[in-house]
Amino acid sequence: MRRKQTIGTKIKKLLQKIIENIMQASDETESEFIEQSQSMMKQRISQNLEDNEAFLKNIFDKSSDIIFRNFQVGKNQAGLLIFIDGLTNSEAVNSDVLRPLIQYGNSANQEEILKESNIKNILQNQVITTAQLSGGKTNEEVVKSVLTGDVAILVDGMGQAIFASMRQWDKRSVEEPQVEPVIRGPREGFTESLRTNTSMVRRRLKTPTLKTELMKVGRLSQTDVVIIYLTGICDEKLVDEIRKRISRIDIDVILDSGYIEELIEDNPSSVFPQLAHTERPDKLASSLLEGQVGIMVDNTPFALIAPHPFFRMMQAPDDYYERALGMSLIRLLRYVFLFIALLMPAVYIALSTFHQGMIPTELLLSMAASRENIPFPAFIEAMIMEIFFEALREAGVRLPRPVGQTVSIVGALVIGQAAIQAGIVSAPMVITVSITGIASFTVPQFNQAIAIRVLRFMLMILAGMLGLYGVFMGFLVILIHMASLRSFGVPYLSPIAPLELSSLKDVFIRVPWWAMVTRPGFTVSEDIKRMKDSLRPRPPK
Amino acid sequence: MERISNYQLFAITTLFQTGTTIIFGFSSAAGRDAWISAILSTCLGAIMILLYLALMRMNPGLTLVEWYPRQFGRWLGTPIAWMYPLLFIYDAGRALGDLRDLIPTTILPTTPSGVILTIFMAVVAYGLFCGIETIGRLGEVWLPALILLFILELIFIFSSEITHIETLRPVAGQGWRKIWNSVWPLGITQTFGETLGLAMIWPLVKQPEKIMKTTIAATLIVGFFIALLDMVAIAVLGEATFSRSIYPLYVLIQQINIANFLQNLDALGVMYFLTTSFLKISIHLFTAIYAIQKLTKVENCRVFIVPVVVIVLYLGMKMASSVIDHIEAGLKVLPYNLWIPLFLVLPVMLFIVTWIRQKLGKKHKEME
Amino acid sequence: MKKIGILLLVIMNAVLLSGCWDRVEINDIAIVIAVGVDKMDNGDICLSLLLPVPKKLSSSGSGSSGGGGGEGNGSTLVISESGKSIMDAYRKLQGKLPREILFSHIRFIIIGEKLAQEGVAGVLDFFSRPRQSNLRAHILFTRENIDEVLGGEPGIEQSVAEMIREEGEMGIGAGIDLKDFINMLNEEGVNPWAGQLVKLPLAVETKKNEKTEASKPKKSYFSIRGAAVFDKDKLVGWINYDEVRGVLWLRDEVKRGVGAVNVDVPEEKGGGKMGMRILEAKTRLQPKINEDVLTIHVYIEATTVIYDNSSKLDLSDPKIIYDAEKMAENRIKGRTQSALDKLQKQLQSDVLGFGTAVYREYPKEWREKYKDNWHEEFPELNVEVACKVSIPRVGFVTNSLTRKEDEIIK
Repeated sequence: MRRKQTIGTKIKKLLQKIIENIMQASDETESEFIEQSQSMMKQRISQNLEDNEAFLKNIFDKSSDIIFRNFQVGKNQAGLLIFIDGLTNSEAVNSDVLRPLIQYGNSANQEEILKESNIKNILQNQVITTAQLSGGKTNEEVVKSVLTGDVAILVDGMGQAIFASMRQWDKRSVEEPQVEPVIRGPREGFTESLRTNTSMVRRRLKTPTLKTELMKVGRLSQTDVVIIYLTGICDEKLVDEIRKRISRIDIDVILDSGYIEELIEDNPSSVFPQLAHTERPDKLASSLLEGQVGIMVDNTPFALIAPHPFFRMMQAPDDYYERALGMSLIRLLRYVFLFIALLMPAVYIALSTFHQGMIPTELLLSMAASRENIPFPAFIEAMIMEIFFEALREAGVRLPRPVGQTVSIVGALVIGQAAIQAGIVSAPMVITVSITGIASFTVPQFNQAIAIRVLRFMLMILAGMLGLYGVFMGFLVILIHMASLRSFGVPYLSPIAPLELSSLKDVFIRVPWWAMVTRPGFTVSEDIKRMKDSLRPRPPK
Repeated sequence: MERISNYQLFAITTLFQTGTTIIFGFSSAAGRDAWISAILSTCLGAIMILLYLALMRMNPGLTLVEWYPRQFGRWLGTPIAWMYPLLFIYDAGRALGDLRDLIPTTILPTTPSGVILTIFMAVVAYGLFCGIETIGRLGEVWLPALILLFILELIFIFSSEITHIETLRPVAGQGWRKIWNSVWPLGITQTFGETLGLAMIWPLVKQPEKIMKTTIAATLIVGFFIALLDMVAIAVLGEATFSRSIYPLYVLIQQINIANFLQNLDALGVMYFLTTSFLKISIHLFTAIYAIQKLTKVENCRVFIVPVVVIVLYLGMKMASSVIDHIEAGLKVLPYNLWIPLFLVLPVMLFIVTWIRQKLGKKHKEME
Repeated sequence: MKKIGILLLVIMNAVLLSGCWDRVEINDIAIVIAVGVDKMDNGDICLSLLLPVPKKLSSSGSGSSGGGGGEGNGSTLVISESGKSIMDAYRKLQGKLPREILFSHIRFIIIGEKLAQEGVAGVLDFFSRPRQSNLRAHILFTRENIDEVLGGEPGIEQSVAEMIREEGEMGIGAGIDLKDFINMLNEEGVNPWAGQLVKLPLAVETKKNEKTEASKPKKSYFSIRGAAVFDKDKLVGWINYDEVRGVLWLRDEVKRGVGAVNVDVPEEKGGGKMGMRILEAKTRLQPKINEDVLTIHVYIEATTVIYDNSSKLDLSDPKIIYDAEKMAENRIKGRTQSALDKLQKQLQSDVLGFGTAVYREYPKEWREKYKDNWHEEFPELNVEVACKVSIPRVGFVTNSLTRKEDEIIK
């Protein structure tokens, strides 16, 4: 794209310079420490166990949760177990590692095992009964694997370490998704544990073409990030692009997939989100089948889906589980309410303060009757009510659950009713705001709904200034912006613009499954057909 | 380089040709025979567009402003080519002038036109910065929406029970002379002659072999659509109101009344108008800027956007002292002085020259 | 980067430059729902507006205003002013009213006889030019005092405007709106006509009523009964209700399911009355030039259904139905004939569109021969009315309730 032009690039270069300067400055102050410890870390594990122990104790200084367990293999051969309490299954450590080791040391023919050369092999093959075992030769590896929850086994004279994977920590059990509930369909949602999550997807797609590429992101957090996709269905270039963008990230910590989302977007200044997030394994699986790529992040139940053009946000998981006709109509309803959520207060302001001629006469008369004593101009009235409504909604999210309901009842009913009776706001305005509020909940994707809410205020301001002309111009700007936006190379308005006729079957309506022969996706590379033709059920002849 | 798809070209062509006709009506001077004049103009216009398309085939891969230097030689061709971007800028200014008159008469009577037009041109500039691809996609989104609205409008009109089909009779009651007067030169040049501007975009289309089919199809559909609108407008408004109104199709929308509730849909009319004139001005300016870029051989055409937009804004504000002046210029002055020479005479000459040169070139080859 | 810049520019433009020029709150406008115009004795034009008073329109309960309200005249206000021209009067009215006058919601325009006789073109221009014009407003004429009409009793409707609009759309009388009127004015070969508003007593005076309600002032209301007939934009005369029905038949404006045909059954067939409702009606004008003589053939086709039958006719007999059809045809013919007589001979104005029909059929002859002296041709025109009525249904029962077997006329 040639758009990135002189001024833009200049500012960018300037910013980059400043950032580099800051980075350099901080590097200098810490450089001594880093140099020292890095050289130590790169060193091989020493033959002498005491040296190792001293080094590691120095590294894990003041860490109460790190356990050093000394033991004896045989008579004089010392060993050391290091693990983090709470990340490791301590029962398994006792029964699978510690007990066999000590028992083995006490058994008869111990002399032969203690030779340097095969000490690791023997421990691995004959003593430790854990399934996942690996080895490492540098101090750095020991530190890293201990931090991820492995048990490190060091034996005097071995010169290397054995890591037994016995990770186990307390995690939330699989529960129903809180943010994306469905009426019909699977009720399990992702949890904070990455492995549980990948297993949920794996259970749905039992094919070797399901790939889960692991990456570690975050300097301090070392968070596992998994790129999940189906080879043959997904465009390889897309995966490459996502891999590239994720590996570019250099940040201290990733606490939620939201961090990743903001760091790999195409246009970070847009109000529209260019990636979707979901906590439903079935939704992720269906997205993968349509050629999208999932990004799963450890410690959060929200997986990202990319690319995610605009019209995808109107698809809810239920659409595919219930009967096609009904769900198609509901989806159309969602589109209607999308427009209401975006435009209704703005149009109300525009009509009632600029174009009274366009309101049907009876309606205008009753509006006039109810607005007679209202002190505020319609624009201010609408702003007050909208902000009040948004605050109410925010309070509903923040407050503890039992209190939340009280707030909504008091806020919506009591205050609304009282405000009308006191003649502070007019009844049509309250109706408008409530309908708008309800309408914004019909958008299945929450983050897209936020975009709609933000734009609604922009349009309201324009409506208050220029009437319908302002609303229309605002809408035009939004439309131009959306037309120029891309989500990982996919035009944001596809498949409407650019038009893809075959994909229209899943945009405004949802055709029955037997008619969805080809994948509705836009990134499909090879495997276009999703089912056999002519699967339409027929009565037997 | 940004490219546009075939369907995007179709959408752009359709909306570009429809342009301001959607609110001004087509040749309302012909009274109740306006629809005949629309059909006639379409047929003749399509022939003219065929000529443009033939020129495109003869100069494959070249834009409008490159045809002339190539066929006429650099010293003669370049000045001629320079006239086109200037004409497009002027036409965009005229379209903006239409807006300056319409918005105050319809929705914002006292807001200064400077504010209205500045905002409009700012949005146009934003669209231009986003590039032809974005404009193409906008067209793609709008075309179905507009068609849908149009069908809705027709349904509304028919269910308001205000149409009197017999108003269309007698056909050609005042003689063919009157019809012909509105076909030539205005009907052909205004709506269809301007399509020559799209010759700047044709080389950007992904499948060049389909351009001819698409453009002709779009032209015929637009012609049909305009004729239909005219017929409905006459059937509803009657000849008198139709030819008396400055914005007959706007008045048409005002007539809708279903169950005394669905009425006063004026906003729909303004929306039509804003949409199509936005696209028309954007395309005009894109072609102008692209032409200037080709002629000056500057790398980045975006440097021209702001100056061109400012010039158009100035033109739009200062174009004419009144609506009547403005329309008068559009009906009498422009067709003869600008449109016929630039849209008809020069292309025909170019066609002849190109044809002869190609014949000679072939013979030359054969002789060798 | 650039995009946000431009977005900001747009918003900044809007914020900095705009001062909300056209913004008017709903409680700062005066919604006009009906307009009356007449000429005063001193030659000035008098403009009257009918305005609803929003605070009294309490039906859409804004809880606080509580009970009461809706007490007839209280909810509307008539305000009038005179001036040299209609614009002058309007400006004076705007000065009188604290709120901005909004004309978009006019339901009807009523014009007094005096002004109509001098020409209505100026008034029509005033109401069709500005953006607030509402070409769908009905246009009516009256011989009564305009202010009395506007201040009249709204009956069951909320305002007089509503009442008269509903009546105009019922299609029993002449429901002509502004657009139709302008079209008729401008179209070749037709003159405009429009409904006439007349004053009628609210209740029919029977003997009983006279006694009990003698003390009370008689209530009256206005209804579209007759029609005003124009030559160009000048009023030439009025026609009564029956003639209006005839004109509606001739103009093909009889609305389906509303109009009725009442037939007097002649004595030799037993007397009595029969009422029919029109299901469908279609009128076609067919001008014919035969050896230089122009004749207008009018073909009327109607389908009716019998609504009440107090005659002794046996409706189960197909022959009787046939007779009934004939009687209805004669009735319609009679109506049209009386309308034709009045228009051709007395008023000499072609509101029927015969000229237009000629123009549509013979554009060349029209331009060469008739166009310029249509005014003289019309009164002498030959008109042939042919009528065909069919009665496909007779309702639930065949014979009238009172008839006895021996009385049936076969």
